[in-house]
Amino acid sequence: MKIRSGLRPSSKHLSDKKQPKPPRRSWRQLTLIGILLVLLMGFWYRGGISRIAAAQAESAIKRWRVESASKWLNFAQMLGDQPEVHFLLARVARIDNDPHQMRKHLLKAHELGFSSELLNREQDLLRLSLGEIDSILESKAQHWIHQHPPDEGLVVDAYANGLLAQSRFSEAVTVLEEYERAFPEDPMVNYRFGVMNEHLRSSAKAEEEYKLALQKDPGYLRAVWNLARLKSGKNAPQEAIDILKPHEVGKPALAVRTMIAHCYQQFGDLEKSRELLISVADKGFEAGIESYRVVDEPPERFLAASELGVLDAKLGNWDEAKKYLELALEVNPRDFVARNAYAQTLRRLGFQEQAEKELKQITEERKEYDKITVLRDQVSQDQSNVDARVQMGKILFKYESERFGLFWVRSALTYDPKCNEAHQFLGDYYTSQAEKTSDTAEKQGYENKAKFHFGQIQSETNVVAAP
Amino acid sequence: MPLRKFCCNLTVFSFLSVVICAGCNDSVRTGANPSLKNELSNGSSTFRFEDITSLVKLKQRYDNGESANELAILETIGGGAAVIDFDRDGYDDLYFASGGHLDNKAVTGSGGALWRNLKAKELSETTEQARVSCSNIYSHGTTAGDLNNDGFSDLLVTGYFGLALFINQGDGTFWENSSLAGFVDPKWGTSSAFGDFDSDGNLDIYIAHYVDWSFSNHPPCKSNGLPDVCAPGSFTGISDVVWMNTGDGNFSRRSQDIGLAVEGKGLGVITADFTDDSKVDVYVANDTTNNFFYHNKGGTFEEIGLANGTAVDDMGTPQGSMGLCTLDYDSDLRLDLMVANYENQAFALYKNDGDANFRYATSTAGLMALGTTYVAWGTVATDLDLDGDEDFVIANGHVMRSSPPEQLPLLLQNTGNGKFKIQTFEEENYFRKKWRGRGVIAFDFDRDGDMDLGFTHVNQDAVLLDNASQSTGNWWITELVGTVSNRDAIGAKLLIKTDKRTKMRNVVGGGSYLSQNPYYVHWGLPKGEVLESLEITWPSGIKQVIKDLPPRSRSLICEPAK
Repeated sequence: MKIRSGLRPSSKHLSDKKQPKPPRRSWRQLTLIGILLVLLMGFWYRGGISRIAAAQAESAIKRWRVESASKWLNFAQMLGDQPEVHFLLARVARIDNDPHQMRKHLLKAHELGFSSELLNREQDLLRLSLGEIDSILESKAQHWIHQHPPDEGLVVDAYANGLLAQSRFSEAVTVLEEYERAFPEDPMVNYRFGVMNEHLRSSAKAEEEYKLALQKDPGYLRAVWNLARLKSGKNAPQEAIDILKPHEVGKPALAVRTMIAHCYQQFGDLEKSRELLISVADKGFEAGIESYRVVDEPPERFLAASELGVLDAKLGNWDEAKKYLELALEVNPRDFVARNAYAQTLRRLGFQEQAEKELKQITEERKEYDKITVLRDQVSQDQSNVDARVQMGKILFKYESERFGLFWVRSALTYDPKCNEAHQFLGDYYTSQAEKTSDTAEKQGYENKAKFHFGQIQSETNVVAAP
Repeated sequence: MPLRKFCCNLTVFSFLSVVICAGCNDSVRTGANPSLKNELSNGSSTFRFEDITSLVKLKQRYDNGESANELAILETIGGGAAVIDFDRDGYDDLYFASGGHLDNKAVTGSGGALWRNLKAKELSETTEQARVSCSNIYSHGTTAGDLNNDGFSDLLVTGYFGLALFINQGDGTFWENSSLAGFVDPKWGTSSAFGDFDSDGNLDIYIAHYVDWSFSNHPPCKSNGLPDVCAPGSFTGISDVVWMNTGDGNFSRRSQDIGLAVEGKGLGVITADFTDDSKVDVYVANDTTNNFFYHNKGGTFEEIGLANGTAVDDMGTPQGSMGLCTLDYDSDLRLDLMVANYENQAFALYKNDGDANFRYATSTAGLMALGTTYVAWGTVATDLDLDGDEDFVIANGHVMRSSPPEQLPLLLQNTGNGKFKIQTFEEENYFRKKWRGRGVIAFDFDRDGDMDLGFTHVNQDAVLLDNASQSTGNWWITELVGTVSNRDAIGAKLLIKTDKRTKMRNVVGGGSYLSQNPYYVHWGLPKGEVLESLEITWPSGIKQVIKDLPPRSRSLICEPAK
């Protein structure tokens, strides 16, 4: 028993008695440990631990635990460059709406010899989710879904989002419902239905779907965010805060804090709101980008600075207002909210001439922007009003949001694939994007898209000219 | 799931709805936020109102003609009421717009109705006797004021078929003077307000015009996939007009030549001296386009709404603005402005910072907590609990067929620290029922010193509420009579100095929604607070100080000669 309980006998025994032979068992144990260590080193050398981490990450992605997946993958990266890890990092970046990071990791995975088929498939999933669905991609997506691959949820998510972006709602519903029958516990389906309901201006139904998503998975971040946003919009700031509070840490922290600050304003607690907004705005725009991406809302405005500037203007803190509004406008000169408050602020600080200039710009922009109300009504009355869609897209693109502008212009092509004006606009857009980027692959991608759209115009001209 | 069925029948989709309307409310009503509700439910309201409509035999209904099922935007506007003591017996009489009909694709008018206050015991309809029926007008708005400075209030009715101007003969009858005075306006008029814009001592008239709808410009529209009334965006706005009173019984029509803006979709208008320069400015609530702030430059106007922060909300977005009132909510002796807006838009409270500058103060005043579920129309600010500061009353009601048309009215108590608290009432109280509210007026119907309330509705009877709140506060009512200035003293500024503070009130024209409140000024003060003096700055610039005003009294104060 003593021997079992301790390997070291007492010194008294050593001096008093003849030293016993080391038990055979100890030697065996040491040998075993040595072998294990050698095996472990071999396993390490061959990327085994990375693979375990990657497997954990893959499983996390399937459960939409993107942040947890990132952690596993970051850990795996510390153990060496593995193609599979880069592939999964690309996938995480895609889900987090970060195509630039995605491309970077895909290239790296390619360099390390990862399966080209899977890399191409991942790029296709990106195109699907952006709504760049042509007939080839469409049949690919349907084929994948029919095969029921292990990542079926990701395929369905991307495809449904793409269909939504193309205003093909009933098809999106079919795809999601089919998937839901097989995977009733996946919160993604309810999230996508929630988004669709918001498009339908049916926020009560959207709210129901987001709640269902959270019943299935309380940590499903995109539903957390959208439900809180709806609650705040419905003047239930406390409910929104309660939903958001558990997510005030980690990747979404800055976005979450900005929304909580907005909720405090709804309560009339402006000081608390201001405090929070300062803590976010002072970190800078770049710091907050990721937090919005993970909640499926890629930012185009420096929201914290814009809100803070407007709030300071309300409180009469004109100097502070000017500082933050300038930050917001620097990030996005199209930030109409910030520009309006900025004009007031300049006026109150005595910069009359500059204020007049801003007001003139606002008036002119507003004149254009106001056309949206009429155009939107026209689309509501007639969904196939291609011209109204394109005009609305162009105005939104110019004065408010590049993303929404592109959405509307693209949506025109759903109703008229030969719409010259839409192709011209998109061709010009991709050309300008190609000019902006220094990334060769990205440039090539934009140029290809531009070529495609210009080509569509050409073909129509030919059709007209042919007779 | 219902969504999926809905998706298959998809007709109205827009991504923009998410852009513009993210977080907006749909037909689900959430009301005030829960914490606010809890706070309120812990304490009972100090306000009490008794419905005396039947008791005083008031039976007045605004008919918007919706039974013809034309889904015309004309149906949405509704009608207001004007307080007018037309017989000068000291009791406020009431004039109501009555609307009209839309049968067989033709707009016909119901005109309006005059109700005579018989010493607060009864209201008796005297429309025919007084000759103020104007049944050719599909009426909306009504304003009263002494246009010819003869001591008797005249009456203006606005509506779809133009205007009707009734000059009070002083014998209980009116003379319809529109065409003789050159007062012809075939455009769609909504609210109007009086004010002496050129400081000649005669009241001029501002008339807000709405849009170019007619049965020949009546497109089919949908809401949630079903046929519904068109939104104002489907139509072009019409420029407003000012009728300058030449002082000889005639009026000259002015518009862009005196600085009025082009177009606009005017629904509410209020005239007051916002800039403390003894000139009456004009504020116009436009529907979905920028609101106008007309700074009076001495008979001409400069529209500075966007520059001075009153044209749009804090997000820089024009609102569906309808109702208006002025008040000094934060007791800084500057005239602030409250604008009641459409659903999904907060009430806009603009704090006057002086020098014609305003700040959006909705959130600082706690009004964000009211939410954005209301389609808000008439709004008045008056001291209902005699505690020295002005409270709000707001009439609400929806316009779209796809939404429940009835909504709760609101009473917000000014807590005295620049914030407002929504009040709750017992079952069966007017404020606990949902209405198709439009106009609201505050006046002392029974001459008991507290302010009573009148509400107009669409296709529901008007309601008269007696203020039965138990208050120990004192009150004063001061009626100003201009001699150099216009007789109703619109534009006057009044300051009372007490042993504790100074309070301000102004005489304003128009306001609420399609309605006119009385021009007399009502003050409340908590018990024990002593009123030391009243200082009046008349529109003419003449200043006057009055001392020894006894509490719980009415005073008629004449403007001294220069």
